[in-house]
Amino acid sequence: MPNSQVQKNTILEVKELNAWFGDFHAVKNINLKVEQNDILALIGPSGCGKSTFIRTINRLHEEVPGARVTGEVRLLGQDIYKMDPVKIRRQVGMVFQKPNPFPGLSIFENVAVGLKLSGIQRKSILTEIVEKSLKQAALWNEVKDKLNEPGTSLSGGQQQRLCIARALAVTPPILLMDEPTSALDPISTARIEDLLQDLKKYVTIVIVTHNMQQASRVSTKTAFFLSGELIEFGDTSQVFTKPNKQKTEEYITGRFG
Amino acid sequence: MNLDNVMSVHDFKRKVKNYFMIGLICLSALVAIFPLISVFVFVLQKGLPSLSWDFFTQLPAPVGETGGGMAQSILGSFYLIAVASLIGVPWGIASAIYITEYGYGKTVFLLRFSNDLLMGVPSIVMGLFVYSFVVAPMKGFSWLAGSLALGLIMIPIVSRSTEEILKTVPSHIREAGLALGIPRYKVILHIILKGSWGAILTGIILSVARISGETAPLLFTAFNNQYWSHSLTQPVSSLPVQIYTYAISPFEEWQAQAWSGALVLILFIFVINIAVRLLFHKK
Ligand SMILES: Nc1ncnc2c1ncn2[C@@H]1O[C@H](COP(=O)(O)OP(=O)(O)O)[C@@H](O)[C@H]1O
Ligand SMILES: [Mg+2]
Repeated sequence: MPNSQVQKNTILEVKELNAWFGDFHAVKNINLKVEQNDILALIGPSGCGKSTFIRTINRLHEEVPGARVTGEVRLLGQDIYKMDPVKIRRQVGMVFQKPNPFPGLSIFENVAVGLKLSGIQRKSILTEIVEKSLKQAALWNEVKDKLNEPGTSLSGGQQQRLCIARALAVTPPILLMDEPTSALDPISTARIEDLLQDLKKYVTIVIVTHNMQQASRVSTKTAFFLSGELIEFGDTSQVFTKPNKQKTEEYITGRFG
Repeated sequence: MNLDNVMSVHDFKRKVKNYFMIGLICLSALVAIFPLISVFVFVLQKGLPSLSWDFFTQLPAPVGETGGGMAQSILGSFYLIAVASLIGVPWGIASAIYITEYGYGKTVFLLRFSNDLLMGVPSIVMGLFVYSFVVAPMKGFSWLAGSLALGLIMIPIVSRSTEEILKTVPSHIREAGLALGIPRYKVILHIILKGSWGAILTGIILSVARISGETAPLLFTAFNNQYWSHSLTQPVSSLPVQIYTYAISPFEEWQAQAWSGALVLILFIFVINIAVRLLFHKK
């Protein structure tokens, strides 16, 4: 066993990944690796392909009519484009820009629905996992007495944490977050940023953000995208203090974007 | 002083103008509501006298005898509507689901267009269609044939209203379901529909209100029956057809009962409409 070196496992490996909308080449030849317990921040100006890129990781991109992907995405060593997309998505959680609890479902049902619809019906198991997920999402204390109220009755920040709990309930090794705080107020945003530091223990996180401070605060790795290309990828401290590329520096110092 | 005068003249003019406009608005509201009220009051006047408990519980009395009711027509209308809904509701919802959740491009356009056309087909044509494809081969009028005709009328209405509801569900809700590793059909059945059933039900109930007054398509499908009938393959009575039969009869008593039938039908439709609004439009 190699001594002092801390052994890290690669969770996600992306090789020569390209994505199209019809003829439009939105994501160009991306290569990167994400290790266990990393928080990878994707930054870059609006329209540079951040969302498109993370949607190739859970194969949501291909749900858009005319959309296409080439290249490889390896999750825990398995090539996800050679597998059943439904199975892949159970291993990749996703949190969206707008909090989107399922309308008509209670707080409990919102968290339980992923498990329930994949065949787990035992009430005791569901109750246990719902509680655990809500605790992980730091929402349990606020909702434990009203689990049967509609998920949509919560405040925006609570709804987003409910969506995080919903994603965590199926225990994915990786969690994708597409600008999860951009629709929230500063206090709710701060709560979610704090939460990410706790979540890191259970799950590897890829987070898209247009907020540079947020990226530098929460992430361990940063990837800078521009016009569909990955310009720079490295440790967050390095990318923000000594970027290798001029474009990166211009972007993080706010000269464009 | 002078200024005061000017102000008060100005004020007076403004007030007159204001009252005039309010009067005009009340008048136009009255114009809008007048036909409804006058029809209702008229039917109430004509129909109330011969409305009795017997009307709801008795079969028609033989010609020449007094009394009797339309019990078999009321039950028949429920029968016809129930089976029509069994046909029209699933079909309409399935069509809406295909259009909003699965189809794209030309298929959707074609389906929408054919639904629009179907909605524009006069209901008597629907009856004729069912007559030639069901009544003629089966050699007889029937509950089933009547329900088929009504069901065909329901399909485009249910489809359209359901489509409008499903379109209001944002696409990121669907994606959130898919992202959990839930197959698309389950996302639709357990998440999209579950969140919209109240609104979908509203559309269904309104389509029931719509078909409950249909007469023409029933004349040569379900036909009519002066006795109880509980068989899908036998002719069955309905309120609208019984109203029609009685209204054109030469007997005064029957004509009076036709008005009572009309009153019951109108009340039924009112109640449905009001109930739907109370139940589902609270916010
Ligand atoms: N459904 C779509 N159809 C066609 N083009 C799209 C679609 N979604 C996004 N795009 C285009 O792909 C590019 C990348 O978009 P996106 O990944 O959403 O950017 P970001 O998340 O970085 O703001 C943009 O130029 C955008 O216009
Ligand atoms: Mg985006």
